[in-house]
Amino acid sequence: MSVKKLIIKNIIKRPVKTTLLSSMALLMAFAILAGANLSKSLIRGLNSMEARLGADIIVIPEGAQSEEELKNIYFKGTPENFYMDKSIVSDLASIEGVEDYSIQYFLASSVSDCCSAPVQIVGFDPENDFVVAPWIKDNFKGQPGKDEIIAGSSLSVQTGESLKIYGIDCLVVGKLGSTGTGLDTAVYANEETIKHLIEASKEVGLSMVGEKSPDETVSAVYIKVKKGYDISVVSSTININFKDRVEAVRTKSMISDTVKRLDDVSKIIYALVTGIWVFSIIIMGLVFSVSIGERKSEFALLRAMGFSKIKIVSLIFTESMIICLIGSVLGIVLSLVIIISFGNMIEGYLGLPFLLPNFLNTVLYSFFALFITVLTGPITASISTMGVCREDIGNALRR
Amino acid sequence: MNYFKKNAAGIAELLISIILVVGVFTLFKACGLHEGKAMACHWAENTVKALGIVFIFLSAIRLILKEDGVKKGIALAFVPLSVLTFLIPGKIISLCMMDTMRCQTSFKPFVIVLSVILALISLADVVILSLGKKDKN
Repeated sequence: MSVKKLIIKNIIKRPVKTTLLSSMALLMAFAILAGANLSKSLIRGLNSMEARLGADIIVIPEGAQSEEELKNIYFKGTPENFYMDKSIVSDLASIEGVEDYSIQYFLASSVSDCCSAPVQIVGFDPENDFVVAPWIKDNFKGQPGKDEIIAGSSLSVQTGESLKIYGIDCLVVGKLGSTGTGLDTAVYANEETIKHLIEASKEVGLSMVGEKSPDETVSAVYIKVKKGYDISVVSSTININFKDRVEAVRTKSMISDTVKRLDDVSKIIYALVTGIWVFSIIIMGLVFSVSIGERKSEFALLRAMGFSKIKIVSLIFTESMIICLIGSVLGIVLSLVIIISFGNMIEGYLGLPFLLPNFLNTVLYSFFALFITVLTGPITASISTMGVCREDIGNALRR
Repeated sequence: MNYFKKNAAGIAELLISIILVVGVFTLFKACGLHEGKAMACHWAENTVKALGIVFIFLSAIRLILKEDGVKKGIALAFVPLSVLTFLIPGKIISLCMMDTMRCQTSFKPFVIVLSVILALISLADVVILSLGKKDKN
């Protein structure tokens, strides 16, 4: 019988050992890949959110609730609408250190529009905007006209289709790429469309904003601070000068809670992956030492037939490598299926920005998980085998 | 032992069908009623439930009956039925508009993953049963 056949027979004829070891390899590969994908997705989500905020300071109406509502839009995708007087915009522009500003107007669609949940409608000025426009440019060339919208990636509507909002068929002229944030469920429109939607909402008796039109009010002012100016000083100046009217929030402080939570979640993920890895090594070591201990006479016989100690170790190494390879491949497939299919569900549970790694990174992580798992098992097995091979052939055969 | 070996794929089909139905009734159900109004995904959920019950019934019959030809026929029927189940959420029956909604985050991936597994097991079952018949001949 050739060595190859011997290895295959050893794997097939010991189903309990093979199943247990490949299950451990499956668990290890699954944990490593899922852990790597999860932590990378969270980091990508946070980076994407930082990029999408696009300003140094966000000015919103005074009150703790406004900041929470703004966070809801960015983190949870919950539609919110809050307003402040538009006259504040020129006052803010005159503050020393303010380089540029963009204004946004928030509106929420009604539930009955699309038979699902309300959608956040973000009104912006395509010509003078530096927050949304650069991002939109990546996916849509041109500017949305009247009754035209640009849809976030999480909306199941495609370019060329229309979305009924307050009874108006709004044509989707572009669809944005995924950001992993609450902004993915929003739609973007110009001021003209917003005004039309407000009128339509009044007509159908679903007005959420009363008489407040974009001519008189804004929801948020995004401020870019001039180089050489301290962002916190500019932010404090706004808060002091316009106390009781508006609140200036530094974008960095807005995501500081998220950074802390992300850090905590990452620590838990690393601890879990390490725990599972150590646990799998221990179980594998135990299974290998028991199984190799039982095969002492088999090894002695092989040595009597002329097999060197190194050849026996390499035989066990290959055998365990095949078992671990089967388990790791299954673990990787399972991990990818769960992470890719249930990514949105995981995002919902974590409540953090979540953006899956790109294809190349996923392939790299898969190979990393495969490499670690396929090496761990055989190394553990070889260590156990070396101990057994040291025993005298005669003693082993007599037993 | 021989019975389990011979019917391993059938047992797997029954287990997956049960998981599908139990999952769709509990953890992986669609969005449900919103303000007393049934959303599109509600009908997708009902259809999957009905198909799941058919799966359970057929896989149970497949385990009880002894004729290999009937077993193979049932396994063969599972393949298009699994493909149909795969296509229900979002393709045959539309779901809610936002990807963040329950029907999109849990119901759809759950049904898709289980229907793919079910189709693969059924295909394997057909192959195993065909090979077994050849061996007998």
